[in-house]
Amino acid sequence: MAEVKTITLNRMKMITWRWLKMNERTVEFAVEGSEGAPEILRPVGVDTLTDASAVADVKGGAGPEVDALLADVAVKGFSVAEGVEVEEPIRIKYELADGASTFDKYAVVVGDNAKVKIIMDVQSAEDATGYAAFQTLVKVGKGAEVDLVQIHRCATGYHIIDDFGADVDETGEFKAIQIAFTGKENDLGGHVELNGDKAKCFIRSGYLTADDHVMDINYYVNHSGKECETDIYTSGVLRDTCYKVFRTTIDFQPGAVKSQGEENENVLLMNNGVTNKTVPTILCGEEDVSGEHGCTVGRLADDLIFYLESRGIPNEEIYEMMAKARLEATIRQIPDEKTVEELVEFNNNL
Amino acid sequence: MAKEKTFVEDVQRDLYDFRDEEIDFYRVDTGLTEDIVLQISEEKNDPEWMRDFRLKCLDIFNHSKMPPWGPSIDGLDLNNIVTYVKPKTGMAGKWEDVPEDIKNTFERLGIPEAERKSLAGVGAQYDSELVYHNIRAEVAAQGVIYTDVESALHGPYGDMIKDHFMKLVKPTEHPFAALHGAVWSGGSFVYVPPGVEVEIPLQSYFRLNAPGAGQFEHTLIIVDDRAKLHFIEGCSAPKYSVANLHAGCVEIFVGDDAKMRYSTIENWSKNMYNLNTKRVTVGKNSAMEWVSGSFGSHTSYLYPMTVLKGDNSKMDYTGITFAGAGQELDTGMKVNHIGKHTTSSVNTRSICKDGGISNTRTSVVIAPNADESKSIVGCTSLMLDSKSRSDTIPAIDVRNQNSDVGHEAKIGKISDEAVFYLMSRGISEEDARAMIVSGFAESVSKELPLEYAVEMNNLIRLEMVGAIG
Repeated sequence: MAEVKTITLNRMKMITWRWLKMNERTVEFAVEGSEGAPEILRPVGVDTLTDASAVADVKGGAGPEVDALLADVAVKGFSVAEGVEVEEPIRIKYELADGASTFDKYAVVVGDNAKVKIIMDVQSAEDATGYAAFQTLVKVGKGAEVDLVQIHRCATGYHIIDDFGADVDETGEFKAIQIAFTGKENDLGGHVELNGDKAKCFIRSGYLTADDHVMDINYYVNHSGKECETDIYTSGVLRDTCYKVFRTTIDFQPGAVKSQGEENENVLLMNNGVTNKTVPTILCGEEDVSGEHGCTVGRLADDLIFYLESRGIPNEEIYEMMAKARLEATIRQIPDEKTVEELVEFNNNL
Repeated sequence: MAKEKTFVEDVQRDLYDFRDEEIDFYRVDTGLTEDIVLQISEEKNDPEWMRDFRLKCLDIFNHSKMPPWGPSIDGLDLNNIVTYVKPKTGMAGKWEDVPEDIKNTFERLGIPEAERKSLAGVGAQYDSELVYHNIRAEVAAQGVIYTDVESALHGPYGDMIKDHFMKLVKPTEHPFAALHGAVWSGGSFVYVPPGVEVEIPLQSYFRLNAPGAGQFEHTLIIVDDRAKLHFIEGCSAPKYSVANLHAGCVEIFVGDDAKMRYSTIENWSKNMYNLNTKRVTVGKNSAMEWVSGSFGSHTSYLYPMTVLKGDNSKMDYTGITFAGAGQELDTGMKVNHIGKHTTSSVNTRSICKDGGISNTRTSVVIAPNADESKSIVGCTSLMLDSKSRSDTIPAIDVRNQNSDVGHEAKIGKISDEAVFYLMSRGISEEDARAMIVSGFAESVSKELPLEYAVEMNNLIRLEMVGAIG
């Protein structure tokens, strides 16, 4: 097994009481890893990025200790030229080996008014154990649109860190969808800088966490441009004695006039014994903005249960059905039919 | 004809910003040493257990670290703080017996008038000591005890104090709890016997007059089974150029089938570091209500905490914070659901202007056995300009499958649509904006017990009308 060290990641921008144990996450993680050998399908219109320094200013959400962990990793880079709209996604598929430590880093530069989708699907051999750390840093040009989809369906012995960062220029749009099934420990980070006016950020995450596994998420979106928009929605299902922390921060800088940010979370708890922690933060240094947060944690609504029970569905089955439906709702937002079909089937067979 | 223009002004402070000369007051040296703690203990004629407890707290304080979260308290140097200032008087049971200058202070704050009109009892603390304490005869006849903690320590309730003192807020929790345990002085002890309902409120008022001083009053309230109490706390201080410190502590024990309401209007001067700790534990079928207005101080850390220990217990929290120029007010609340079928409802509002910083920090924890519990938290913040800041940091920890927790937060400016609507009804833009701010604050301030104390009215007043030519 790999040599491990203690690292701290997913630290909140503005921390709160320490006794809540939500400010950051401290984990034992592999000291070093090997470059992965994913299957990459690169569609026409996507070039190899020759100079990764283009994303040197882009920060990830997991924090400096993850940056340091991946500092010496060779960057796999893509670029899309100005005005090029790529229909087919870049597909990156991992089949992680038992006992492996995989460290990979991606840089994506998307020119003005270009469009691209990136779908990363991380799987492992059945019953495999191991570590994997990924970081994807994206530069979104003016008027460009980027969809980043990250899917985790590793075996229950795997510890995954998956981190993204994006700098979005004027009228650019960055969309991230993270879906995590199983995995022993999942640490997801995201940091988006809406630098240009009218830049947009859209984040969706869906997760199913069970047994004694851990799901730890940290999203930070900074609004510097005028009239920027952020929409974050997380939907999850927690079972058994699992442990989940969701941190999200919407930050409005002075001058980000008429910007809007909304963060929402909906968590379904399937058992007593789960630990569900949420800290949705709004930081506001500008008067003329609108920031909103809403969250619902717990069980299904009584009227929904009443309705379904009156249709002859037992209570336990209702919960199972709604758990799958939650994940499916997030899956269906992936802008790729092939991936949606595959994941819906995977979800149904869990 | 001159037209009146409406605008939002800072909280009116003139009423509170007067100072009295210190004549023949007793002060310990600045800073915090074992000698100073023993000096305070001696001065207060502590029983042995309390003296030992103070020393233990000092040791904890000396080994504790300042919190890494929250506003900066770099401007607070404990080496420059006097932890005990005793006015030249003992505690009086009649206003006539209070020295003239101190009595005048409380007269100006409207306390004796409020007592006559609408209170069941009043305690008045000046710097480190209670100077006045009184309870209406008919309330005392019900068996209600309302006195200073020091007197209670040496009376028949001494064991009750020992059993409850800093048992809810432990000195190990944070440095300022430990500091409080070491140098506490003054405050009130209230005991409401089983089945007694105190229909009109008790009020304690804390005035810190001495520059560079700290106030560390301890309020201990025990509301026994089936009893009911409304307690009001008010505080103010004149403004000095040096830092003052308030590190009080409030511990409330609510029995079964009981009801407690705790209202606070905090209007410390803008050189004050207000690092206050408040906590209540609530028995089965009981209700706790917090009503909190935070308007003053340079820096505040204030988060009343409720432990819903008994089944079917509930808590309502209503709070408003107004942060103006030079202020950073970090306020909010904490609630822990331990018992089954417990409920909490939280409504916080904050307004910031002229560079003021308002942080709303909350936590809701639902324990594994708190079956069928419910919590709803709403935080709304209004920013009146872009020099100010408003941050919301809500934490939720749920460990129970059959509980429901909802949280909503909203930060923004005055709604253009609302202004437009009011203007379409013939109201000027300025008046419309002021009306919206007033309405925003009113939903919380209407819960404040203004009718009970004239002084309160002054403390929470947001001046909405001024004149221009």
